[in-house]
Amino acid sequence: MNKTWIVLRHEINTLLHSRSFLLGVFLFPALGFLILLGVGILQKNMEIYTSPEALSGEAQSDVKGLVDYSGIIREIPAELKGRMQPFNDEESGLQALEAGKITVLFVVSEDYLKTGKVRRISPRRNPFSGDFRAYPVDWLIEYNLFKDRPDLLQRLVQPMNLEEETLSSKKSRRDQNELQAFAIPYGTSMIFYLLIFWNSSLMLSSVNTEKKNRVIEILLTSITPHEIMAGKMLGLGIMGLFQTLIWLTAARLALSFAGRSISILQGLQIPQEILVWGIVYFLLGYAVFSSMMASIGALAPNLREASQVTILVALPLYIPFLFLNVLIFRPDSIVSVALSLFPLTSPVAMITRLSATAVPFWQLTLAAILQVLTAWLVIRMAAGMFRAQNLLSGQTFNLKVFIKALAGKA
Amino acid sequence: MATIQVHEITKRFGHQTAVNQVTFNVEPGEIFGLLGPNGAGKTTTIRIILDIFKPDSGSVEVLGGKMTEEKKNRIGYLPEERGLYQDISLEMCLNYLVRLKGLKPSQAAQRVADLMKQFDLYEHRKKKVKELSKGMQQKAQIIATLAHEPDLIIVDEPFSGLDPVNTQMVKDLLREERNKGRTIIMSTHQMHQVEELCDRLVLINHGKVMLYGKINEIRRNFASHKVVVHPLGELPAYLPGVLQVEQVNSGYLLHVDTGTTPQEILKSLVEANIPLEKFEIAMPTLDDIFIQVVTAQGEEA
Repeated sequence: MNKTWIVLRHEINTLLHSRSFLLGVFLFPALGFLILLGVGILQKNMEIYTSPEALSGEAQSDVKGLVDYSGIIREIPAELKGRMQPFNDEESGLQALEAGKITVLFVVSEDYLKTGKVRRISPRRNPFSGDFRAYPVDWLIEYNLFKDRPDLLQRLVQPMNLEEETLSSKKSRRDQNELQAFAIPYGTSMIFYLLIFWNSSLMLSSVNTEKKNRVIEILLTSITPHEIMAGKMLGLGIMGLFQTLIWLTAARLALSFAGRSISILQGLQIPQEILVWGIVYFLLGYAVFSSMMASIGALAPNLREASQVTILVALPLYIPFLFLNVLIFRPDSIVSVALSLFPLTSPVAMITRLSATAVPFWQLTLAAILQVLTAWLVIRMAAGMFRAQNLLSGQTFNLKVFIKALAGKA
Repeated sequence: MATIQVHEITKRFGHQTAVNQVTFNVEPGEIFGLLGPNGAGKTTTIRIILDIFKPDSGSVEVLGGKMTEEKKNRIGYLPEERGLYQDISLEMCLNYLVRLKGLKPSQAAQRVADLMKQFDLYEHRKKKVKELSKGMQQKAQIIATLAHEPDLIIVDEPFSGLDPVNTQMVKDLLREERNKGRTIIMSTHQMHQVEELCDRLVLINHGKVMLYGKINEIRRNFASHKVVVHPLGELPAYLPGVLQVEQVNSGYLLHVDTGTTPQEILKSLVEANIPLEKFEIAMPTLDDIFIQVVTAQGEEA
């Protein structure tokens, strides 16, 4: 145990002295902040410059024409005065359009209440002109129909504030803006995928560095292979946890910061539940995948030969991304539940579900138990492969060798 | 009691037998030579002694019994494939390797600092290992081998990559360690170093022990029926028991009849009143013996 502790401290020390690791820990969140800052600034500018009028050149006069055959629009409110020009007939409206006095002419048909028909006539088609936009005529019609019932008008303009509850939890959900609902689970799963994959890869890289530097033989005369593996797993795991905390804290800060400037992120935050379960699933996922990487590191003579098997081993971590829509928008479906319980896909899939909906406690616990059992099994297998003969061998490495070693035949 | 007892060990890798029924002892306080051509099985034998590999059959006792984790702290090993962590500082690298030998942090730091001073590496302690020259790295590796003051030292090609000054320093260091009562196993191809430093040796070829014993005895066993004579004058035209006289440098090499001993030749020369500067049995060098044994086995195979 004492020597495991020495290896653990050495791994931590080495990473703290590694420029690439420190860049990874701090640069990624810093980049995230910069991107959010950029998007925030861009969005503010877009609000100013990307209105349909601005893009289509309609802002030149910014006056729209209106011919109302239905008789609904009797009043043009003060805020639209000077921007909306009524005409008695279509002909005079078209003359004004041709003369450039107005940018667009709306013609509300006589039977609007029955058919809802409104024609929008503009001098030419412009992809940026928002040809399909009915504003402000749609609003004018609603205003004239319901101006005596301001509460009704308000509800009509802002239809509903949907709150969803499930039987498994009374917790309320966030707004159902699809983009908003997608952003957080996607971001969280991506962070978890990167954290588990990157930190597990550190294990492979660490074993490979010792092979490349030819220190394995010296180490083996001082310490057992199992002590080396345990020390590495714990040391790199602690640093991975440190990185996880930095990233998640940065993500929380970034969201609160971004919420002020980016509209779709307003009101969003990473719940405490994700932080707590996130740490549990990170550690379990890390234990499973870093053990597999350790065994690959023990068997492969170099990183190049290791990479072909690494991709296959890390594939289960990526599978949840193929089902991201299901996990986010149908988080209680059979596919979502299965992916979040299957131990190899569970770390990323469960965190994705958790950030999309409330997951029943029993599922969270069952997934954790299954991962603990898998981790125990994988660590045992990896320890069997992490032995002197494999570590000192320079044999060519491929999937066949890995499978043979898994079966205890290498 | 022997420091190391290797008893009939055999190790196979697939269909290849790397070590075949190898037996030898290493006595306390001696420098023991482990010799053999490339691929002979020397490294596998060392790895079995160090418990890195388990033998398929046979047994090894080290420091009075089976290898334990505690005993590993009493062994210093310099492998043939030199290796140090390249991307960390020399000081950090050595402290780590020495601490793995069971030393406390302060103890390890002190020993490493002292040895770095002795080997002129102290000024370079903050440099990354990869920034050091090959010779410096070699010295650093020797520090990692000796810093924990091991009872048993196993060095594989300890002089490779060293200049003459540092070679002499390492030789002195090995002698010093022997004088302190430490047991040393030295594996090398440099036969003159073995002749100079080792007390006994084992020669392994194709995984089998070819020679084993004291160096002088081995040389004597391989001595042919030849004597070297440096007379002050000329040799007589006829000497009983001498088949052929060959002039070499400032003397003569006498090829002696198998039935005649060197003592009889000396007696004949004295009786003939030939003043002598030098008279010795022509002993083969270890190089000659090595080549002779390895070549002979190659031909048999």
